Amino acid sequence: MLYILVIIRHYKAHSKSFYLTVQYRNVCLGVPAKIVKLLDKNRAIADFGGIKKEISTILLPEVSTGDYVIVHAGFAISKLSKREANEIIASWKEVLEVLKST
Amino acid sequence: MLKENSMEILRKFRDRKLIQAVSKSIEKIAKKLDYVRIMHVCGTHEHTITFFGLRSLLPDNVELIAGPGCPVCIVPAREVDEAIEIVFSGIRVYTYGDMYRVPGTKMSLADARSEGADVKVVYGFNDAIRLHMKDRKKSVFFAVGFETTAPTLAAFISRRLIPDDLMILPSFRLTVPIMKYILSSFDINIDGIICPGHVSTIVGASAWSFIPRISGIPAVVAGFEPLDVMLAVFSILKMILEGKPRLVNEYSRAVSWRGNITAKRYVREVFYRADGEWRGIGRVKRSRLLLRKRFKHLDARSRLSVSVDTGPEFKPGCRCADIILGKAKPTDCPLFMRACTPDRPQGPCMVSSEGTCSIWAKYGGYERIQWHYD
Repeated sequence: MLYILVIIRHYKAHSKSFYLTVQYRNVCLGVPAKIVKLLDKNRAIADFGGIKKEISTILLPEVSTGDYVIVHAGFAISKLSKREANEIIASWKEVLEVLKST
Repeated sequence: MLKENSMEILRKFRDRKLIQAVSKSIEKIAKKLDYVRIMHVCGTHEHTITFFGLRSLLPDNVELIAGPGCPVCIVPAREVDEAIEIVFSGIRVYTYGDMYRVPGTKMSLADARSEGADVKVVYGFNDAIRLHMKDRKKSVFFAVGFETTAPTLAAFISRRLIPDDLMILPSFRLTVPIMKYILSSFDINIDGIICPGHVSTIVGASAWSFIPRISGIPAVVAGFEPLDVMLAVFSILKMILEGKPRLVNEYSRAVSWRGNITAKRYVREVFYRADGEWRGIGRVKRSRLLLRKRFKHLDARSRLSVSVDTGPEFKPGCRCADIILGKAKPTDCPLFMRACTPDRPQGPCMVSSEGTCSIWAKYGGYERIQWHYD
């Protein structure tokens, strides 16, 4: 019983702080975020699942409010395409269906 | 865990039923194959695989190997020593949180700070500039990272946005050359590659097209959610079975074929490629970025004339070198979880949060759980 409690506590602690730790400690990790506000040509405020932080958009000049981006070490490096995300899930589901029937 | 409305795209990539379906399909295909070794070269992939226990969802004859995916683990001890010498000469050093604790031949920047040296940890280069503008102190930015980090500096340098007293100590390494190196060295046998997702957002999926072309093995650019990795394994196995190795871009929601052209242009303008030392690996051709001549006034190495002696890269017994190359697992190391723990790390693989040892120590990837669901 105690073990289970410890595991649950561990999981909770990790899941809550996961993106926070990721955001502040890692060099290479890219974190998805939503652009909330453009400050000027090169800076924007991004929402990391509840935590708002200023990021640089110097590497992604075409970004606009409401876009999802991947943020790496404080810089937006790539736009996330919602359409592509949905499409890829749909197409993989199809592949798996075909495999199941064979 | 994640705020619902802001991350709804990602939720589907953690869908349990979908992942189980992929796992079953993988099992079906793997039955028709011999032993398959798949390498990934990204600390974040290792994190996903270990954190979500994906190895337990794969059949016995499919092995996931962690390659050199941790940019701070492979910075030579010599270059850490350079940063330490600079900071002890009274100049402030900015660096990333992961680099801060990595030991050089004698000590780490964290040790230097505890002896009174001025070391500041920043999240990104823009934070370093902000701090520098406030304090106006002569400082050096110890820049480490792969293709993803280099453009963040290059953009500022190219636009002449660097303040006067801020110099750069570049220790960038490139993942595309190291991949070529690994595939051309004969002692490691790899049947498939999972390409690093975030490096690919910059260099583009096209940068990896040499893998199926030259080495004749399948390669998949994959994202960092559990479903991404499982789908990558699935498509690699499928390509092996069909005998048609190709390059597949599974992470198309973030990675385009050509990559981030703005970022690549900045990097080309500011840096040139040179041969570079990798900790535990040795010299790799054209794998390092150095500042071009017209930006030499920013280079800490030429402005401060730093000179350090060479020393041992690792502590005796530490098998970090083999672990970085995927030749050994952390559990093969005699120090792992005995003399070397996340609280008292002995080698760079345990120091960095992206190092394989550190990830295995925290999330326990070494126990393979036998689990059958129906």
